[in-house]
Amino acid sequence: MNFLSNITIGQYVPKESFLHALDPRSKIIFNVMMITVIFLVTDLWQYALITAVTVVLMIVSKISFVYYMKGLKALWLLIALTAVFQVFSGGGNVVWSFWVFKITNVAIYNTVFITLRLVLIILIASTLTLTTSPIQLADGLESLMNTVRIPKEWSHDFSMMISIAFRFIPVLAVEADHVIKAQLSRGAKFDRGNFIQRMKNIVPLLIPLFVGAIRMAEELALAMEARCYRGVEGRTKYRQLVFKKKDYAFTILSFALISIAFIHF
Amino acid sequence: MKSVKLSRMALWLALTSVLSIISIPIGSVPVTLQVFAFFFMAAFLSPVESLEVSLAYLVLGSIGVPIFAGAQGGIAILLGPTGGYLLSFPLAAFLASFAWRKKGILKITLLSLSLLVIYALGALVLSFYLKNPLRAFEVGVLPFIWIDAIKIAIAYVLVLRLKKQKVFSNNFTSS
Repeated sequence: MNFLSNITIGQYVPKESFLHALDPRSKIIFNVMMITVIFLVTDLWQYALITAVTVVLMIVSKISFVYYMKGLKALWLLIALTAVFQVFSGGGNVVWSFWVFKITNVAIYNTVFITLRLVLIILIASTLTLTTSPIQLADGLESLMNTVRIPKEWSHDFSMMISIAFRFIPVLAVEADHVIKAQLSRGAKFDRGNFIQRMKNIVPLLIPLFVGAIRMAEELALAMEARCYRGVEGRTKYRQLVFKKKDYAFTILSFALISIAFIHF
Repeated sequence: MKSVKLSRMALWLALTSVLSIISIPIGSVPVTLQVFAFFFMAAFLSPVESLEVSLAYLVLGSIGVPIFAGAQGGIAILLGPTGGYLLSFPLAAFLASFAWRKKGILKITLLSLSLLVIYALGALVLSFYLKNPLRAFEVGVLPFIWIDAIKIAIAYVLVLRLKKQKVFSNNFTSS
């Protein structure tokens, strides 16, 4: 039985490219802008332009297309479901019909664009997550939150929490796997009985996991306490984020891309 | 004690994430413990803390860590047809955590309400994609809501038992 498929935490692929060298903040801004634009555009030519930008970014990142395809492959069900729902809805002229199913030209048009929209969002998001390590992303988010005047204490705690959880998710996942195997070897049956029975069978899995997590939290708190952790005040960073010229250029470019949404060819 | 609070919240975040990716095969649809985990977390954290942890969960998932149901991750899921369910978690966790502090019938009403929040927002976003609210209700709410209701009932019993046994020290819960 496979409860926990092999999970790889983070998709970061270390390479030396223009995109890798950029500041995480400029990449996050670019992503937000691009995804907003993708939701705003309606025209075929606008989509073509955005696709072109995406492909250029994918080439600039120097990361093999296989990685991008992996991201798409993981979500093919989502994409397929959306497409199926779209194809059988909407008005317009009937192009093809069979029994109760009718496919109209408007539905085909919608399906193509909504599928394209999802694929583009996945690819754009991949250019961020494949070229930026999660810790850098957390740092970038914290710094961006400070820029938009979210209290420093709160944003520091938030990004600290993300960094700690990021480190502990694999640990807990392995622990969960061990607990499942240990209970199976003691004769636990997770796949027998009706629904309520099965949910009850989860309890012997949850309790050891919770106890494990409590132990980790207490040890971690103790370790942090021993190192005099006091939160954001007086804390310095080993890796400073520096906004360089190319970052400014990239950010300006991403603001310029908004104009795509308002130009109709 | 800042470090205690921080490590507690971080570990609940990690626990919620791990429970979201464990899937149990029930019939043809694998059922995850995602909603269950959120209601469980809400029982042991204060409302504001649960809100923060669920926000962090969404951020962590959207930067590509595969912690959404089915070990998926990425901003596309958050913006896709099923993203409404995820986006409702901070609100639902806040409400549920508030509910756990109440007593008797009010507690149960508020807990059910927070489950309804998840499904209402989920169906709302789904209906944008389907362009048909009734269809969204049929596909996105009816088949799943009773499963989650049972999960929450089990979480309810479990939390009551754990709280009675005082398994969790005061450091780990804030009540």
